[in-house]
Amino acid sequence: MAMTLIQRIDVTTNANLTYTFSSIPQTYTDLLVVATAQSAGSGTDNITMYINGNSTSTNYNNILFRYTQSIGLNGDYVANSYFFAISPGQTGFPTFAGSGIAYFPNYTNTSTQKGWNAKTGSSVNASSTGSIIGLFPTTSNITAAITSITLSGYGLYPTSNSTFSLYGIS
Amino acid sequence: MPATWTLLATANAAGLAAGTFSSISQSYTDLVIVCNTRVTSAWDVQAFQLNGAGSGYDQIYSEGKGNTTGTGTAQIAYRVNYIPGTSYSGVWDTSVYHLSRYSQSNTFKTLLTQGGAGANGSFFAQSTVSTYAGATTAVTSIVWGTANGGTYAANSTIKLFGILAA
Repeated sequence: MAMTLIQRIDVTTNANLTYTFSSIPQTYTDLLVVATAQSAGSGTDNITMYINGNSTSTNYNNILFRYTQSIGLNGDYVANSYFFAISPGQTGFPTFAGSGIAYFPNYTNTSTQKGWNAKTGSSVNASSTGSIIGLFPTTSNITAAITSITLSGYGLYPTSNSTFSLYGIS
Repeated sequence: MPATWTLLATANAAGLAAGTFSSISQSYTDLVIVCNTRVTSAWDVQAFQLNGAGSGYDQIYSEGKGNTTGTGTAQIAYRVNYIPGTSYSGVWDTSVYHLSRYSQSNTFKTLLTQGGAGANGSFFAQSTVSTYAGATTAVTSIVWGTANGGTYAANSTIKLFGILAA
């Protein structure tokens, strides 16, 4: 009984858009993903997350409940699976990263639509529009057991020193 | 992030409206409750009682639903998070609750909640802090259930973990 690190991905190149935890053991109760990422591109971007290789955005549904200093408390919903915002393009703050923690309950169940519950944030600087804190729970229409989880830049590539960790909880 | 989690109990909640985690071990630092639930009614609200107490709770919450947001406070015993039901086809709650320093006998207890589910903007993302100020005794039992009396759907589970500080 424990919280066990199944796999940690340390990004060492700026050349890959996606990173996948594959062949996830089916021996745990729940899964936890802990991630921190940044990008060298311009403009803000998101890390998205999808399961079992199914990257079709319409198979997922997000709530984006968030606070930013410039907008205030804000809500939105999208047919996508945003995990957390990264703010690479903030002028003068190229190395600030976004982070997220996502909890997947009952991932081995084959009868229920899979979803996860994510807490996210990125603090760029006190006056930047790139700073954000939010809850981004996601529901998918996938009922199969989760055997892989992919994290992907939405448009920009995660850069070196980004890290993605998968834990099994039992 | 705590170094160790230990699964203390799994409640298969299908067909039930409430249940109890009793005789909770006092050997851990904190407790975590994970709900993966639906109800057979339109919707309901997840509820907890510490040591069976039906009152003495204070909450502050923030929530998003579609394009709308809300914040507020409440003193409703139990209220912590919404549970989807027949009004939200195929949607499951994935909430995580953290009860810190539950074994101390000289402090009020605080339950931190993070939960929600995507449902085309019709369901909630929610964060709640709930303090039980009715007593300072250690928590040895937790009643879980639906605040409005709804029944949990098949495959609904409520898990109790004990965690130790790193």
